[in-house]
Amino acid sequence: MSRVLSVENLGIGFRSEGQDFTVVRDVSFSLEAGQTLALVGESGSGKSVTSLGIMGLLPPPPQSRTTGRIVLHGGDGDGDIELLGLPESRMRRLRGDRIAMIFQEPLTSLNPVHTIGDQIVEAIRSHRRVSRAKARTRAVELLEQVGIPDPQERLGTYPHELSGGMRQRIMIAIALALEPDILIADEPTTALDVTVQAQILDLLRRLQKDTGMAMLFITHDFGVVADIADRTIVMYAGQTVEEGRTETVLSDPLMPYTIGLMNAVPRLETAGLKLGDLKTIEGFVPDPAALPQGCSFHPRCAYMQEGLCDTSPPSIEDAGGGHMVRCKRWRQIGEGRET
Amino acid sequence: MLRFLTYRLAHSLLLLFLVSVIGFMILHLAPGGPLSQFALSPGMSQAELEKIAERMGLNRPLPVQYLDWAARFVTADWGESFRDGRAVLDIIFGHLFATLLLILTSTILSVGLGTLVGVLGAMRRYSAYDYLATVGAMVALSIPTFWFGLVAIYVFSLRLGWLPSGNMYTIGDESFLDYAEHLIMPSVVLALVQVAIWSRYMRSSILDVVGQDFVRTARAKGLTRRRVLYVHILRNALIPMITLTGIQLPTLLSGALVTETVFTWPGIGRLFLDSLGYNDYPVVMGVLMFTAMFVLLGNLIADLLVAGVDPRVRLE
Repeated sequence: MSRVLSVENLGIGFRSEGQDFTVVRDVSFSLEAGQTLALVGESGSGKSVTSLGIMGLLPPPPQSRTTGRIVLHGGDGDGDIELLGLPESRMRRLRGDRIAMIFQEPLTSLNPVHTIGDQIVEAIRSHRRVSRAKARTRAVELLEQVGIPDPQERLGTYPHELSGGMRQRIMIAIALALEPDILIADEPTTALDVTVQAQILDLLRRLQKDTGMAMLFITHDFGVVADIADRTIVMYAGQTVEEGRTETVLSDPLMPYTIGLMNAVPRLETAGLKLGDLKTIEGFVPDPAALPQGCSFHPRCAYMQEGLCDTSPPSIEDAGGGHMVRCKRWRQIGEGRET
Repeated sequence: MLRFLTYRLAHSLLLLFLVSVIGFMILHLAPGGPLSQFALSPGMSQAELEKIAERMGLNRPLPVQYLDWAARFVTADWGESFRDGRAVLDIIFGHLFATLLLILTSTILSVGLGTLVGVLGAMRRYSAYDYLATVGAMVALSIPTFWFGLVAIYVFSLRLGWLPSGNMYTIGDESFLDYAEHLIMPSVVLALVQVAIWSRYMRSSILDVVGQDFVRTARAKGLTRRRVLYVHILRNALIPMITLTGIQLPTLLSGALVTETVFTWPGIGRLFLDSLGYNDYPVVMGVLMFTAMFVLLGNLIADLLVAGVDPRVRLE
């Protein structure tokens, strides 16, 4: 298994109306070929910003500033490439080629005035010197691969003539056009019907098996996480609060925020967790300009202990086997579950 | 498509009918009239005046006059000028070239410049340039065209002597350069307001499009900045501008009327004002109907163009 991307101590901040605030703090993870990493969290937890930071699609400084390291590891003989600080012209060549991305809103993510075919061909031809005809042949191949019927005829259709699920398939076809090492999927199924959602997840899993690409899958849905991810990172207020193998995180969550999130999923079996009737997490994700003192989750936490959680911020600790937790009380929480 | 065209044709005919009725009424209800200038001639008797009125058909009841005019109008006989007896259509076509030359030049100027100013403003939002463009547009919109025209004549013709102060060409010269020299000031003056309008609309249209998801997709595909701007942003932002051009036609024509008057440009606008002054009813009605048809046709073409470039639009 080879490592394709390393993110180390990533920090992302924005400047708005003369005020600086940090939305991603000290996030580290890596992506392995053929594996899927899920980033989970509520809106505002910094997961989408993290993905845009990797793509180099954040507004340029001084509107935003990114610190830390993002390294794209070369496959065959290419050296490692440090993505942060890479000139736009070089970053552009990697975007869509080595790292591709699909988005949450399939209905608005395609340009309404260009045909499906043109939008796929354009992606291919902006990275490879191939003829229009050759690119179109490849486009038909891609449409077939993502399960679009009559691919040849579909090339000439416009986005508005297709359903949401179909459009997300087109987006996936565009993303896969150049066989990227990494696919970032930012809530790709959130806007779709449940049945279509399952189809798209199946498709992504199959394509990953065929191409061996690494996936960074952003979602707030633990059902999806269980379905697709090998490893899971839970983010809160711009920080990693829990990380580990998906089975471990889902079956043995130790950070109260993860527990709260899972209890908020109506489908999930929560009876064995003995968590009383906690169903939703009270309150909101804190304003990044005014984070609470101590643990940033303590004002909403059911396990909060005064004098401990509201004084100094917790550091991230290994709870065994690479299961990382950012909580001072994870031992008590774990023990409480045993008995 | 056929249904759309039929509907639009019926719609346009109704509008033209209303324009003609209202125009005819206002013209005839206004004090004075074609006879007033004859009445001032020394030795003019009442009997002679009545004879003139009878010859012009002005002694009949207004509805009869209207129906007579309308019946001739639909057979492409737009009547004869009270002033010189020439056919109205001939007179209009005689002035058409000058007006078309003026509004076409100034439209090309304003679309080109307005797009540029708007795009730059949107790309560098809230920059010093953007504020300058915003203030400039406000100033341009608040200066009356005639005032700006007079100042331009004062500066560039009287003080600096760079450009001719009026007319379309120098008699005896009439070379391309001579036409161009005469065209500069009136077309720039006429374009000024249009540039202001275009740049404002263009800026907000671009900002609308820039925030759309498909632009993010285009960038995520690794397209060059240039390609994202031209193929994805501009292509979408220009669609509402086509409609705007159609809607702006009346503004453009009334601007042309003022500009032509200030620069003694021999176009339809000045013909209209002159004819009004002479109470030349047939010519005034002719110009009115002609411009109304021009505006309606322009808007129809704009709608067809939008349908041509935006696959989501279906003409029903």
